[in-house]
Amino acid sequence: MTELLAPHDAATAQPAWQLERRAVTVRGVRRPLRLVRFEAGWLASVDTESGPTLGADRSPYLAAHRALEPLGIGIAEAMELVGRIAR
Amino acid sequence: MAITDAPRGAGRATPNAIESALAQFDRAADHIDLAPETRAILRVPKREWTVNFPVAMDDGHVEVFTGYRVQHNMARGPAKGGIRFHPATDLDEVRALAMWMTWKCALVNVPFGGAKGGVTVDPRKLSQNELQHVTRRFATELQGVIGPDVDIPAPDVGTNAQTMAWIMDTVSMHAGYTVPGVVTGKPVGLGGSEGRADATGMGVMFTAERALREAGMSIDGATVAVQGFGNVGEAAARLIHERGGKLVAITDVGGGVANPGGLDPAMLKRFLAEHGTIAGAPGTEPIDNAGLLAADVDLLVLAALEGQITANNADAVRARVIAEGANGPVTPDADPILADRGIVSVPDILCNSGGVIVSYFEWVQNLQSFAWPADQVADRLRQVINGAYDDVSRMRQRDGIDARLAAQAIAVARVAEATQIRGRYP
Repeated sequence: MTELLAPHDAATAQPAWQLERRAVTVRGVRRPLRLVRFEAGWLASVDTESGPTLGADRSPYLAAHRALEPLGIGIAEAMELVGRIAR
Repeated sequence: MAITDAPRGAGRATPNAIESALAQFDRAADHIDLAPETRAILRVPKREWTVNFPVAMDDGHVEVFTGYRVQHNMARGPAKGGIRFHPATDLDEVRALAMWMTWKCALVNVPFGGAKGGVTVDPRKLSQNELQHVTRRFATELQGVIGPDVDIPAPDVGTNAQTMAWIMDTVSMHAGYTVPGVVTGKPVGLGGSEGRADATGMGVMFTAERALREAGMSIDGATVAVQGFGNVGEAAARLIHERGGKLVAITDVGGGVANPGGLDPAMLKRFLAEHGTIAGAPGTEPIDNAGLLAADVDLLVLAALEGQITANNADAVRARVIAEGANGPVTPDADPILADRGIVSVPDILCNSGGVIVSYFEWVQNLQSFAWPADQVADRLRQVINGAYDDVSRMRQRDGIDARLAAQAIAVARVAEATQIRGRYP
């Protein structure tokens, strides 16, 4: 399950990065998924018992998958969790 | 054998197979914002071969045939894809089909890359003896190119289980021992899987059933038109008929048959065996491909060749759901026309994936030297294809995109992920 939260942009007119938050529920545990957009691509991170994960890629979906894979989430599910990204 | 004379598109105004494949790939790559270097890798085949080889015909004269094998991508595992015998087969077509195989294998998450092969030949004009010689020589030309750990061919248009048996035997003769895993779609007696012959048609039926249900209809009582009555079309028609679907029009290489009261696929299969076409079967009216594509039906199954519905004829389609049993039967320029008219398409890489899913099962069974019963094969096929259908359906609904883009985006993302994780060598 996922819950979409409002995106939180950097507080400048032309930010070098933008943060988008998602909430991911895996096996009953709700975890924040952070997606940070840079000009060159995306960083994704989710909190786990062993610390935050990190994924990086030009594609937000591949970045998210790398962050979510330690939780056993496959790429189709990761793409679904991220949802459509505004260009 | 499924040979069709159905026209491919309508001349150069419509994209050919490779143009369609690349347009679909670019759209998916844009959707997931794929890195430029990964896009460049995935946009072209990894390897491709063109072979020219002589074969002595029955009357003693020698003909030179041209064959192709293209391995598009092997990041996720050995390449997998059929071999077709068709007079119009060329390298560009094989390239497109190999690329579609990569996406198909990735979408249903079987550990294969994509490949395709073909020989430019009309198998209907060859004797069985000549066909065997063409097949064995082509397999010999591919020695080292194909193999259970490298590239595993399967039947396609114009080839069948016997063709695969000849390839398996040829490779085994060269190896000095039996190599069952070099091809799938073999006869069951040679290590073929139960259920493989019907697998693509069964997958078409499973996915069409889901799409009809999503559109508020049931396969039981649905009116159905089927283009193609070969390996895929015959099985799909028969299985849909068994589920209560009413077949009202079917076309094949020699023409077509229609009956608003319903067609009997078993009778048509017998007629086909005797006459080489279903055209003229008793109790039917003739129908051509244009008439079939414009039939007012709940479900249209496209099980012939690529490029059948284009921007030139998409306006004429009156079906509520299209099941793409063939590869690339709807061109990218037709997609928005169909979508605007509310026609739902089950994209090819999902709809006709039953064949490669059961091919994967066959390969696994061969590696394990262990055979699964037919009901287990069918259950696992349903499980895998339904899982892929769920993935596509959820993404389509959530992102507000069409099913083809959803399917391709998932597939391209999986292959891109594997490509990137493996890194570049050296």
